[in-house]
Amino acid sequence: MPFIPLTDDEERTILTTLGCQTSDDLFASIPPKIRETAKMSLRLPEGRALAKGMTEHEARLWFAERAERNTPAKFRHFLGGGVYDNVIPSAVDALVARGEFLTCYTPYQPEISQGTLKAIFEFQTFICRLTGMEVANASMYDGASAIAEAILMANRLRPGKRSVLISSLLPPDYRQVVDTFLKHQACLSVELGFDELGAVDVREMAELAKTNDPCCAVVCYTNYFGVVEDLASIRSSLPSDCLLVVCIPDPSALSIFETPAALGADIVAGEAHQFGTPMSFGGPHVGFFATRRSYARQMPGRLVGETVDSRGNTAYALTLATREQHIRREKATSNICTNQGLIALRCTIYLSLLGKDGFRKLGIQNYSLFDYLKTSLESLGIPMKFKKAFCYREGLFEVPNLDKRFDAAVAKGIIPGIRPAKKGFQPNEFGSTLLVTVHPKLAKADVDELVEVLSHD
Amino acid sequence: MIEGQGTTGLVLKEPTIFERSSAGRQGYALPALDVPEKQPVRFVRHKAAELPEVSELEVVRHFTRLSNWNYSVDLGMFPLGSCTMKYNPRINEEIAALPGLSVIHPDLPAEHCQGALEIIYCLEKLLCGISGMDECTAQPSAGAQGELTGLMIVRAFHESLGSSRKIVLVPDTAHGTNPASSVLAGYQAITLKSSSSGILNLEDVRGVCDKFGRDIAAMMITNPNTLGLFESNIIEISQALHNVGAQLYMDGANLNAIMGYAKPSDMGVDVMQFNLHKTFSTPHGGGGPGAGPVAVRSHLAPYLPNPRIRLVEGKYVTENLKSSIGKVRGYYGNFGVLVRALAYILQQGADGLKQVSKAAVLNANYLRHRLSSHFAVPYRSPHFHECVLTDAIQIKENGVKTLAIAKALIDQGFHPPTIYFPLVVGGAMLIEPTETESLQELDKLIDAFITIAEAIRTKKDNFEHAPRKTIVGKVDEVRAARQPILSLDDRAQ
Repeated sequence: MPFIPLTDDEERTILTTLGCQTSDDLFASIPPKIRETAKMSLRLPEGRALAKGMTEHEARLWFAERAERNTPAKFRHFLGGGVYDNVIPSAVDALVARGEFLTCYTPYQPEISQGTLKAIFEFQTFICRLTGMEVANASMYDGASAIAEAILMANRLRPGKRSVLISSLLPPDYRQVVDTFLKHQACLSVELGFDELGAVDVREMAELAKTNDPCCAVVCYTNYFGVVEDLASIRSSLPSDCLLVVCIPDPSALSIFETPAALGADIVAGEAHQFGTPMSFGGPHVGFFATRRSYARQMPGRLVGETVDSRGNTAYALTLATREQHIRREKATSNICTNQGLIALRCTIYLSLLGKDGFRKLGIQNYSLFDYLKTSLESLGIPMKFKKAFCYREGLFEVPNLDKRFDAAVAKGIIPGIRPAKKGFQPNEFGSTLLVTVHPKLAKADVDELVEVLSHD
Repeated sequence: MIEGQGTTGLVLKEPTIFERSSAGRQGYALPALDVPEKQPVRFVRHKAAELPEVSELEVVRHFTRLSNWNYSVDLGMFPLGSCTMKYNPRINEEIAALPGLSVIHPDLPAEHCQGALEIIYCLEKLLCGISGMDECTAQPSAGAQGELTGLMIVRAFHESLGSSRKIVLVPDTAHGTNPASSVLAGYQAITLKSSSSGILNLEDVRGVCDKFGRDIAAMMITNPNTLGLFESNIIEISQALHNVGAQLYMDGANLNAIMGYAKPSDMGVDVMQFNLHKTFSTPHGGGGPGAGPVAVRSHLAPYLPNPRIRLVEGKYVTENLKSSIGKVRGYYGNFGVLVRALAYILQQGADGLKQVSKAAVLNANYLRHRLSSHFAVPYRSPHFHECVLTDAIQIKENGVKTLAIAKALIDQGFHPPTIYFPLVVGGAMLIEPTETESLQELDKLIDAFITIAEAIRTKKDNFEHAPRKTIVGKVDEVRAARQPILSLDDRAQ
């Protein structure tokens, strides 16, 4: 067996050393009643029995067949809404495939984990520089769980407050995760509506903040309709003791739009998979989490700090661990044990390759391509749902005969976008809307083809 | 200094990537823009983010040098107890990277992602087959999130019966995530002491069940536990819990020890999580991504996270349950990790998985047996996949503690075991060799341990200054916490 080196002879050697007759002797503390029925009979839904395993090549073919049942690679898509396609520099895959990164553990032994530790320190630095915040952690499971943890932290920072104000324009998956996590908290969640710009209704929010005694307001920058929220006016309309939690599902926007820190954010949490990690059907992705220095000890997740070693060299170690479950157990700030180490590394390598100029270009190109798409659609009578919405690289369009035109696009090898009505938005209001997103794999010709197929029956 | 397989080689120094920056340099060219360039006029970022400006080779060198500072399974044995650092088959990486599996958006209409849905469905079914449980969700991101998911399911179940319970019982040998997850699920965690034999005393459990009765929502048991011992009263424990309407949660972190020898369903388990990065060989990646699917008996199935994947008339479809606890993370979970774990299970088959447990247990017992004449062994009964030693003898002989022994092992070329865990054993060294290590490798580790024990006994070395051969010496963790420098921009302050 390729993954198990133990030979029959060696098994006998071990058993002799132990003074056992058979290996079953070692399992004698399992009650006989349990052992009797322990045999596994494994079967695939297709009917194939799995007593013996497949060879490596059989497994390769089995998966290749399943991969072909998904959308063919030649399809183009305009999907986004929290998960973004991107081109991935070849060096990213080459570097993360190194066993030294792939097959190491959480860096509890700093002397033999300096590579991972230093890379995480760089990741934390990247997140701070992107968001403008002072401290960032070593990563979270994904954007949705990062924002849920951000709200729990706001609760800890403002104990006794009655509610959480939450924008209705978080990606629906984020919102559902937040709801799950808040179910067991005393805090009430109050939904924030949107205005005719497809952005948080700031006036309504100010009223709700007055009556609901909130610990924080959670807004999305950019929101699910692709709109760049006016964070400064949101901040100034909130009571001073209400924390501003900014959710960032699309951090490529931070290349051209002002940092949430400069606009008054207290906690920033989001999702960075588009920096070097494929969409992978929604995971593994990588959440990020940043805040003010004074709140560092209330953060969830791992943190890496720079220090020195016994020889006076710069060295790195996990730090402020007294927040964490393996030390504090039931008093920990979170139950999280792992981070998304390898995906955070992908992000770090990607941003290093892209660099200062490349990062800015990424944002400008996304913005420009969307502007072209929007102008083209509008000129053919496909308006944005919120006509004056200020969008970055995705937006909500009103498409007549949507069912038909959606199918027509698919027939041409284009997945034209996401239908919010299928993601929990009211069918009455959103039944004919389509969320259309651009990404660096798309060019003018792809957009022209999409515009063509969406603009007539 | 004693010579082991650890030696020094040419290891290069390296600053942070930011310190390699030269203005104007580029590491990657994005696809060219073929529409007119536009600049936003509102909310414009005033100062560009200070990303490094480096060439591709500089990036490759930087991260290659960093990688050289890591110890990994690919480099040598990683007997980190409770973490199951087994070999990660490379075919699983190749499969997960297939464009048809990696370049797919989770909002694709179901008819465009049948292959992906099938993969998740197959994995959930096979995990049920392995554990004997009835239904499974692959959504949770990691073991700890699986625990939380399982407890939320338990809570929803009790609430559906109109019962509001307050307590989750957690043995003192449990992982720290257990009590932390209990609190996050809105429960109070009560610690249960294990007996001197290392497992739970049935009378203690019955006593607690009498005392707290219908306030108990669940008990979380790791079986085999973190000492590598099977909780042999598990059936009676489950009965005692069920008598007061409580649920038995099994932390499946150690499932790798009992596949084909015991099914959680037959132990009376109601809900459990799997750690795919442990039992099913997905790489740890320096601390993630993992995956922590949760399996339940049928009475808890209505509360599983949404969406559920079903096979209806030959098509895979998604369905939302009304009584579901909701979503615990975005989309379908760490799909790429699920792909790797399924690839592993398909290649092992039922027979192979049983071999995995058998070899893991043989290896751990061999290590324990061979080392027991040099180190104190607090528990005598046969162990499962891991065993515990302590520093009691070395403290007595020369005042050398577990931490120094761990650092000495590094110079011998091994990753140290898990140290000072479980908390119930003073100076614990928890050793888990896994099934993928050969007898020759085990012997090398044993030799290293014995060499260290001898040096301590003969007072040749107390390893105060270990490790000596690593890129950095002992790291000042106290200073890291007192004056936190958490990003490059903190240095100046």
